[in-house]
Amino acid sequence: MSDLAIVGKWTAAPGAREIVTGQARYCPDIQLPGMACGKLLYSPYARARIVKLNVSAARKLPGVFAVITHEDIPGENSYLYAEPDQPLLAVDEVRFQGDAVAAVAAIDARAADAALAAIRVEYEELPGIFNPLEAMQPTADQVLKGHDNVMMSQVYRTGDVDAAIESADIVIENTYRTQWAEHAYLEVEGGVGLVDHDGGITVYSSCQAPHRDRMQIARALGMSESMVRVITPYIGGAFGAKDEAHVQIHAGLLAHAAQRPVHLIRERRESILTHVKRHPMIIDYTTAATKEGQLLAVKARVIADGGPYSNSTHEVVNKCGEFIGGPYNVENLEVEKIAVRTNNPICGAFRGFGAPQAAFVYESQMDDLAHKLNIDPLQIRLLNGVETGTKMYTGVVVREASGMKESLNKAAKLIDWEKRDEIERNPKPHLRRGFGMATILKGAGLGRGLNDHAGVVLEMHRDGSVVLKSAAADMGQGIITVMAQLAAERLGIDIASIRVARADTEKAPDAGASCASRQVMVSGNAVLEAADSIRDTLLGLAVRKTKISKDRLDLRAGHLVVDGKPHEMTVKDLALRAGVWGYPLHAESISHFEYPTDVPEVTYRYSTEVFQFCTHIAQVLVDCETGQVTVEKLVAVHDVGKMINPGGVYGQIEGGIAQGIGYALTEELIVQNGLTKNPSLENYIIPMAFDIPELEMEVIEFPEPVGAPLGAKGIAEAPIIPPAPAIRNAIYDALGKPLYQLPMTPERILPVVNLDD
Amino acid sequence: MEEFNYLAPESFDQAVVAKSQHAEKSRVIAGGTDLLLRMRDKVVAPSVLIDLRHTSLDKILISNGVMILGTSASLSQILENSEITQHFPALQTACREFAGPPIRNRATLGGNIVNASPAADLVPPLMAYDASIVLRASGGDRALPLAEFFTGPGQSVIAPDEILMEIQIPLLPASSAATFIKLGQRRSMAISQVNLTARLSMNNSDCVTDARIALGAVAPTPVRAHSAEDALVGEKLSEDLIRMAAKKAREEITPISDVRASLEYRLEMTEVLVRRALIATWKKQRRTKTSG
Repeated sequence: MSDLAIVGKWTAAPGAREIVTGQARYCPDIQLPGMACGKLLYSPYARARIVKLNVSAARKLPGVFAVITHEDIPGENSYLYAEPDQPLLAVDEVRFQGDAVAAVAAIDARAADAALAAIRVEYEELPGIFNPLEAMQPTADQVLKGHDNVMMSQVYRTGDVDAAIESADIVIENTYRTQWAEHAYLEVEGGVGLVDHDGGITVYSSCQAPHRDRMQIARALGMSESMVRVITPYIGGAFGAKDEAHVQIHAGLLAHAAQRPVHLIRERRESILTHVKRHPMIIDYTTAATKEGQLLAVKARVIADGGPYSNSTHEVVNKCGEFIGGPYNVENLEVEKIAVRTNNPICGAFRGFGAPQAAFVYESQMDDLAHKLNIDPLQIRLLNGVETGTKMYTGVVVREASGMKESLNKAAKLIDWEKRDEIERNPKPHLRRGFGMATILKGAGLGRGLNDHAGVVLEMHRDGSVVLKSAAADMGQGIITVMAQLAAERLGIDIASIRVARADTEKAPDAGASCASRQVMVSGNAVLEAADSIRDTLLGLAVRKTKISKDRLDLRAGHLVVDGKPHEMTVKDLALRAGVWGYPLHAESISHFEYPTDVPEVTYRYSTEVFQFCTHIAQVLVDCETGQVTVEKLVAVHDVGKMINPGGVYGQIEGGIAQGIGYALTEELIVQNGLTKNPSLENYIIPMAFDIPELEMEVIEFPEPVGAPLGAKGIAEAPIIPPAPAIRNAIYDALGKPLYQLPMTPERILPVVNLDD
Repeated sequence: MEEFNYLAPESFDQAVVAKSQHAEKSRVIAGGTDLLLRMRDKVVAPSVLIDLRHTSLDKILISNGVMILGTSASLSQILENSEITQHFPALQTACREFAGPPIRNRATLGGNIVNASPAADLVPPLMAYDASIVLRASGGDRALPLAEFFTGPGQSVIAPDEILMEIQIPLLPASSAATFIKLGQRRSMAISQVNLTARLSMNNSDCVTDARIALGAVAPTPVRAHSAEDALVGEKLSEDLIRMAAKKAREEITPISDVRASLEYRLEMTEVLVRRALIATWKKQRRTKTSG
């Protein structure tokens, strides 16, 4: 194929105009005739027994169409986790502040509020279990009766860790703590349920996994999946918290109970209290190395607080363990992965999926090692970094790792790392400046052994226009643009000729969840396959017409191309001919993520095998009297394999850095005895424009050799991961003292400063 | 949100009549940036809202050596007023660091005062500038120093039939300078952990002739640090003196721990920031003198 015409070029994203002009319709904008207002009643307690639950008064109120409790669920009363342990509506006990107890549908919000107020719940508050270390004890009371509080306890070992530690010149041991973090997307969770003419249920949902939601809704309704349809309108962000279902199941249940459309949108406070958070973790970490800085062994124990229900805790903690050694060649590694049930907020997926906690720890540890051995932080990373062909501690052989060291070197050059000591370190007596780096890897895709596929449907019409049907949810990350670009590239048309239908389970095959930075690869491959099938038909017709052999033909800029030169025949002409001659330009493709089988044994369970590499370097200024940290500058170099949509890639990097700075410095859900003290964006402090420094970003491209469309390996999660350790290391550089807890608030920094005084 | 009646009087007199009529059951709304949230959260549930936006109470003018600011002057209006730049720059600094542009366009000076938040950003500069306020009821006006208005978090001496009409600030001698400092958890859209204004008047030999230190978010109401002020007045300014005054300010306050900051942090920051504000004000004085 000749040079790319559309892939890698800046382009206006399909739908961007609608979004910026306010025309795009999100779940809250949906209005249907006769639509009722749905609301949920949530537990105000972290743990309580439900003594009495009486909804009869609420049902009698005027304007109330339906009031449902667990008794009114026709099918299964649980979310569909690997372990389906969370009820949709609580039965006998509430186990976190935010467990739903009942649901109502009424003529308007006032009537719905009145119905909620008329529901009589008698709770007997129970002593909650809030400390994961206490919850782990065998004598601890069970958070979920019949289930061990330790919901996961696994050890993974490779090499001989103890012997390596024994033989090391230096051993560094630290304990790290991370916080509950909130996704804080613009659009809170919502759904609209409605009853179809045949009694089936359609749900509009702000979600990441429409087909899995369909399965869950059908299961709760006791209906067949064919009777349930899920459609995603525009989605205002998700970041993992809409990966598992939230209120869309309840919207379906309420529509079914009320036999009319029901609009169920959480308020911000409800959203923060009820949706999953990033897991707080306590990580003990031991690094062993030679005096030259060569890593010999890593030994880690991860304890994650998952809240009362499993959600995706197993998967998140497993991923945390998978990346616990970082992008380094570590021959001896042991990681103990423990996840615990408590009555704290429920935790689950959040951009990075366990990798941000791991990276905070392994990159902090790397700088501690560099400081102790008096080795430059850049050099110690280059010394230990994985290379193409390195067999990782997971057993995975990295097929393309050039981006690891290249991102380090490029980032160092961008910030002039070698000359950083020439910058004023003490601009005022109370101000200290520092520089810190972090380099990370993030796997893309779900992992070996997991069902990782996506399908698309592509149709070209007689006029040359194209409809692309995919069920891959676009939450703002831009998969629609990427799919349109790939299709346009192969069909030789411009992106404006392609209409991408928003995800709808009745239009397109399952594309799986938009998670794990996977859609560019899986849906991308499916689009290429489908587009190539239509392209083949078009070129075949061109051969018939021109009698020129196929290998001399191409499609580009709307024209047939012969030997690289535009021919008078256009793609439209060919499409019309196909229509007239009866060649349907219709293709479906289902693409499975490719895990090579001719590789040595991969020992880590569900290991990913395609890695995004990136390096961030932060320059910070610390006010030693107030403890405030200003991130003055941040450089970011990312290897994406192949950049398909530059605007999307740079946007993801910028957004990830902003979110990462919040995770580093200010964001923390304050939970006391299971109750969240700051369930609002007034007190949960995400960064605003003034808090984001000058950013310098560079994208590098080392195409992934296997399984990635044109070598593209995605970008979504990587950018949120390095800011926290990079900023931590910069603060260490500024103060000469390390920190071991996130977020690094002024009140956590001041005591460290005072040690010097 | 509960149901309520909405009144939009065309004149301030009508607003005052409405207020006396509905008294406790009513609330005055100007920008609504705080009130509407509290109504949504059912912290307050007025049955009548009296909107001041059509009552022309947003004038900012100087009359007889006093600057008069109408209660519904928006923070953006205050920011853009060149006479405030000239006479009360610390008030503008407070406006600039308040929330963000959309909220500054709506939020009003009167609202920031009447809410009686201990953390209100505009109150310390107003107190440091010796502002007084005028409350009007159908029975007549009463004027009082702003410092005497607050009685506790969300509590003030305003009577149910009164409306805050205007804020008056006496013009200051040129020998006076002031500094506002705010400490928040981020650079915009932050509720203050500590905020303060220091104002100093000095004679030609660096002797302090008058001092004001007003602090927010460190006590149940915005407060003056009187003993710190007293320690400065009559003394020749020095770094040691300033450090001593800052320590005294710390001893005078009674902060609490909340989701924004701990009690200990507020104590320590008060000392640091009072010192910084006094030093910055001292420097401004010197600049004025050299340039004058």
